[in-house]
Amino acid sequence: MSHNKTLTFAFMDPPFESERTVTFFRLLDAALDANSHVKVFAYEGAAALSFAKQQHGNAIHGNDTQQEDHPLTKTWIASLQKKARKKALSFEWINCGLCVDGRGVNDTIPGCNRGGPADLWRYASESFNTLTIGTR
Amino acid sequence: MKVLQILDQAFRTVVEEQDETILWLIQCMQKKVELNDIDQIQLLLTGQAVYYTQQKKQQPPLKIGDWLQTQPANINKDIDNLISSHIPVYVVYEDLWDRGLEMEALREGIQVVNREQLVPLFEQADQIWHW
Repeated sequence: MSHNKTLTFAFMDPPFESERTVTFFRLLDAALDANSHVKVFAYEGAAALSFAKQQHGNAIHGNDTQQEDHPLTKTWIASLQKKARKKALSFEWINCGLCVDGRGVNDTIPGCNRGGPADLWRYASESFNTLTIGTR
Repeated sequence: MKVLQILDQAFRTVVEEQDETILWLIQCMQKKVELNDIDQIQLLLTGQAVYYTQQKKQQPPLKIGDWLQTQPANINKDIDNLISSHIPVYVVYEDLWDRGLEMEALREGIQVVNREQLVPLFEQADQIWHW
């Protein structure tokens, strides 16, 4: 496990509104496919990606939240956490605390923790490389 | 670890965050970096962000109804903080020229590089973070 490379990702976009968000998650998935340990620093709008109270019904479809089974980033994170565990890889996630407070998204799913920019530097220092994906 | 931060976007979230978010991030990380002699942060301004090298005015406060912003972003101060913290700040000459800014006075302490000089600048860094 310790011989595998570690990659850090810093991401700024929120759960919806940007195709970069989906691409970001596909990159995380691909990194695990390549047997890399993954560290994520969620900055700005990305601090809401792990918000535990995300839910999404659809009255036009006539579906409640369970029937609609809408794509939710908290579910994607949980799925990646599960995938990492199955492959004996680490999958760490830190939200920028100020960004969390600013958006009122303090209630996160398990495994996603609160931190700050110093954690991004620590993550990068421990990694083979870092990919930053800024918002546009 | 030496990390070259490339800032290409300008005025991103500046109004609502009261900060240039990447300059803020760099200032936060610098507090950790300056605790040892091994780590270093460098900043390269490209694209629209080259305007930060010669901006003179503070961001105007936002007014919504009766609400008036009291702490608008101060990018000039952010850049000065980086320079006074001994963070090397570079700007790409061609990106200044493209915008008709090449003859304007730059903030003191900013180093001008041309595109050919980017190669060694990139090569000396352990990581490059392109924002």
